[in-house]
Amino acid sequence: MNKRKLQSFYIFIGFLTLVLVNYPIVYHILDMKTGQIPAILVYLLIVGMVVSIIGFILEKKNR
Amino acid sequence: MVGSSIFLTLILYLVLLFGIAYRIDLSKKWRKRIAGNPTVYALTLAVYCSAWTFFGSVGAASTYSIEFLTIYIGPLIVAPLMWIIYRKFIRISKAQGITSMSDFISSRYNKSIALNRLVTVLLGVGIIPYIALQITGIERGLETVISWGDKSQANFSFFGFIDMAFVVTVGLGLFLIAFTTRKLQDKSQNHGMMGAIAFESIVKLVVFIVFGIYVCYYIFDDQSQVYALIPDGELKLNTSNNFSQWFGMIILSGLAFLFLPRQFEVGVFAASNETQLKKAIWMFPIYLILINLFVVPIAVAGNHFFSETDVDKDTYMLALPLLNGHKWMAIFVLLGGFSAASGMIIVATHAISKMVANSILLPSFIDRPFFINRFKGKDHKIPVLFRRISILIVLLLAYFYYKLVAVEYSLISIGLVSFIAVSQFAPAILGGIFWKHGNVKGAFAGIVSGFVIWFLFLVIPTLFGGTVNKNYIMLVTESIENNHGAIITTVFFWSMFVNASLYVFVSLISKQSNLERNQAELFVNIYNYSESVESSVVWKGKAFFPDVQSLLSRFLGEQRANYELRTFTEKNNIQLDEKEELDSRVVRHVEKLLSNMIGSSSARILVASVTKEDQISMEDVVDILEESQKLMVLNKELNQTSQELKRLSDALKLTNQKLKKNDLLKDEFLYTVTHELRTPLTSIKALSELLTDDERMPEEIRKEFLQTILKETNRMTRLISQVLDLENFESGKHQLRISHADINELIVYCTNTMDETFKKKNISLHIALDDTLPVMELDYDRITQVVINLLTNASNHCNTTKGEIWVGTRKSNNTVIVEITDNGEGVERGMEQVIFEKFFQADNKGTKKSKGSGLGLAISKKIIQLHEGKIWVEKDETFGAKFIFTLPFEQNKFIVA
Amino acid sequence: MSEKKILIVDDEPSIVLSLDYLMRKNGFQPFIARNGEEALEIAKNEIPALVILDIMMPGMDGYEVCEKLKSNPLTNSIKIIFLSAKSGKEAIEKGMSVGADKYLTKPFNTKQIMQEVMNLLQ
Repeated sequence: MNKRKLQSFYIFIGFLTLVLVNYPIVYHILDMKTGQIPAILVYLLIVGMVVSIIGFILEKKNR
Repeated sequence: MVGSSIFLTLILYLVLLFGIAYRIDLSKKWRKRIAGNPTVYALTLAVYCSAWTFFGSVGAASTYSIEFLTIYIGPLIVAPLMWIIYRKFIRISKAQGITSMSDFISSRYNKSIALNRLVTVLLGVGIIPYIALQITGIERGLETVISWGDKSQANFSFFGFIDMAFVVTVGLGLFLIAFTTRKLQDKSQNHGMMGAIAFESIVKLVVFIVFGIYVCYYIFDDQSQVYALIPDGELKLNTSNNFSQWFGMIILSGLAFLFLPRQFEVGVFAASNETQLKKAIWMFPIYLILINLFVVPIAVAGNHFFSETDVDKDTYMLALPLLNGHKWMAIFVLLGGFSAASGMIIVATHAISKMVANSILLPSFIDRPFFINRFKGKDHKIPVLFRRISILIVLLLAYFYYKLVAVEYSLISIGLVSFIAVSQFAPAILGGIFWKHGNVKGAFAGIVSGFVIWFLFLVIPTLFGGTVNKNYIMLVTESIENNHGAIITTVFFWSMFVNASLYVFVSLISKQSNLERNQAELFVNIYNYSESVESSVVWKGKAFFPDVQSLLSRFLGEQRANYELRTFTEKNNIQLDEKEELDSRVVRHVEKLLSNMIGSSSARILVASVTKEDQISMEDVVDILEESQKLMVLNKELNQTSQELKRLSDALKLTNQKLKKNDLLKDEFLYTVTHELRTPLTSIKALSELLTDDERMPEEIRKEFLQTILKETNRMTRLISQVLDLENFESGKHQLRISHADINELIVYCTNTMDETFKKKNISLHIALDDTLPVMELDYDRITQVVINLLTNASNHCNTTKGEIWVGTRKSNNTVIVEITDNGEGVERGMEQVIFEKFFQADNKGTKKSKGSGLGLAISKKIIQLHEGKIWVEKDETFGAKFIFTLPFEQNKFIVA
Repeated sequence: MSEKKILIVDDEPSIVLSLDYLMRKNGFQPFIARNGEEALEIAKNEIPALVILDIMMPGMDGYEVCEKLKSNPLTNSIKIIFLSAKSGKEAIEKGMSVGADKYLTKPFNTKQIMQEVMNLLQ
């Protein structure tokens, strides 16, 4: 991956995350439940993990 | 609970920190390990999680609002952007010798010393309360544990006036003095301190997770049991479920994460290389997730036990184990909280004090005669002294702020106020590295305006309570109390709006100075210049080597100064002549080196004091930038050209080697051929001579001689035609004439031709042909030549008394395999490859003569290769030599006639 | 009178054929060896007056045969003529250094070779 593409990727993840953790997505998840645990907590956990995993992949791909 | 045992624990922990930092600083091996290690880097970034995270998050979550998560979601979003922003910061700072945030901003904006001071003061005002907040965190934790069940011990102190918080403050101050001011020359990298910070990050994470598990699975039976305690539908984003507030807090935290001085310190100035960033980008989010995993359950559990009591929400983490009688767990948590707080205090104080020393104290005193005389010969001690003084100033200010003000407020509100303060630098910094037209006036306008708003609406109310202007204060404080988050985001929005607008507007209407234009170019396009900053910076004036040298020696010591100057001039091919004016690049480099140590303001003052600077004109700036751009392009082209040249010469070398080898082969071939011709020639000549000389020769001898002559002549003819054949194949004159043919029929034809020979030699022939073979594409005459050649070889080499030859065909994928086996001795081991080479028969140095096969096998190999097949020989265990060749059914390269 | 014995060592039958006839015609008793081992064997048994020795042969080469003959007291008085297709200076020098009396190259002249044999056997 060249430098420019890598930069764009990082910017893209940043903004994607910004969208994922805000209205209206969060609004819809707020009242749901997964078992006993509020769904919003699980959802945010997943988003966090996804960011981390993509970051991990980008690092490995650009050694 | 006995306070002294807790006190002892904390002291021991501090000693441990000292030990770690000391160990790292002492050993080169450890310093190296810390320096480039991306994991350590990611862990130091976690200094972001302070006492506020440790106690405040739980307190905030106990209102059933998850607004506290915005503090971590912000950095989560910004983490990938670090590659764009922090990488640039790192590159610029390394190239320009920048070691503090205020230097960073002022270097970009006209190297303005006034701006440098302003930034330092404002950061101090913004961050010192935040440091005080950490002291508060520690103190409150201590108080909770000590006074549990015994209120009389609430104010644990020594001699009645030295409280624990003071002891801790002094301890951390000593730590800073010990590990950040000892070796100022070493490019501001304090590995010992960074190692200790990374360690603290591990401690606080482990404590938090252990405690979470303790609450969920020890106090309660299961995590879901805890979650079940949340009232239905009660988990909210914030107290009023306001999405814009949620959004605003996320942005605020993201900016704060980037621009907090402590993050700048660990993320930019302590970074050894840019690749560390890539790892941190995914490691840091994991850290954030882990440390927040149990916040909600702990808060819910706290509410379950303490909602009706007067226990402070921020101290649930301590109250929970104390209530259950687990004092060891309470101390464990306290230790975690202490590690979180002390980490933040250390780094933040380090960052602020460095600015105070380098931007305010040093520039004011460094060229005073008093100091110059007082420290004659020991100039390098001046910055150390000032650094130490500023550490004490910062910590004492924080301590007094804590004593006088901070106790009143919850942990989280002071933190947020600080967040807004540091985000006021975002427009100037981001504009500085991405927008060439931002200028010093715009930066001033933006920063000042933002801070004014911040001060009016967030600071005055906290400072003066309700005593100054009743109405205004009432208005603000009440709104903070009732709608805490909303006021934060509102002030954040307006301050940022005004700040950014003024920055852009003023920058647009005012002009940049030439120096500033130069620096702007270097900041924005740093990736183009990072290799050549010294030559891309305009500096005009008169300077002489001895002056500059002695200036540098004052701070680096003579040896080190000379070393630096020598390496730099050698690297850049600069001639040093004491009488000539000094090359401006050297002056720039010296300024950079000094800046690394004493900050950019002082460095500038000092360099100006030994040189005579001229005004630089716009043309100079444009010229030098163009030149260095051109130079870079030229360099690139040169590089490419030289690479191409190298490739060409490599290719040439290869060709030459090939030619040489070919030559050698040709020589050898020629030698072999002449030698081969010489043998029959010799006998022909000798026999003819005898025939001519001796007329009375008996008839039968005469006949024998003539027959031999004939045989030898045939031998020569055969050899010559073979040589021609081979030569023609190799030069490409012989092309295959491909037609459709049945390989089995071809083999039968060959064996029939050889029948007579076999009979004469008493050889029995066995043929096993595969009937399912398709009609193939091949050159009938050439393949016949190959088969006959192999059969002839077999008949020459098979057992002389009872010769046997096997011929077989079989199918494999899309190829046919032809095998011709004899029952002779087989090919000598190691010769399997060589026999197919044309010069095999006689190597020109050797005197051994093997029974050769002439050129037949070499020609056969050539023919089979042209058919895209393979030919080789195997030694059969029971029989002799087994010659095998394969042919594909179809030919791709040739047109079938 | 006993005919002088001459040993001919060569692996090419056609060359042997001509030399054999030539020697016989000039009153010698030729012996034939196809390789080095055979040559040593015959030399030991028959002690010929002269050996016409080829260099390039399968197995033991002519130099080796010559060295062996010269190092054995039984055979070291035998005259040796190398007759080889190797005509390089190096090959000739080496031939003389291992103790040969004469070095002739192929193709040869029948009269010349006879002349040399006579000279050596006088």
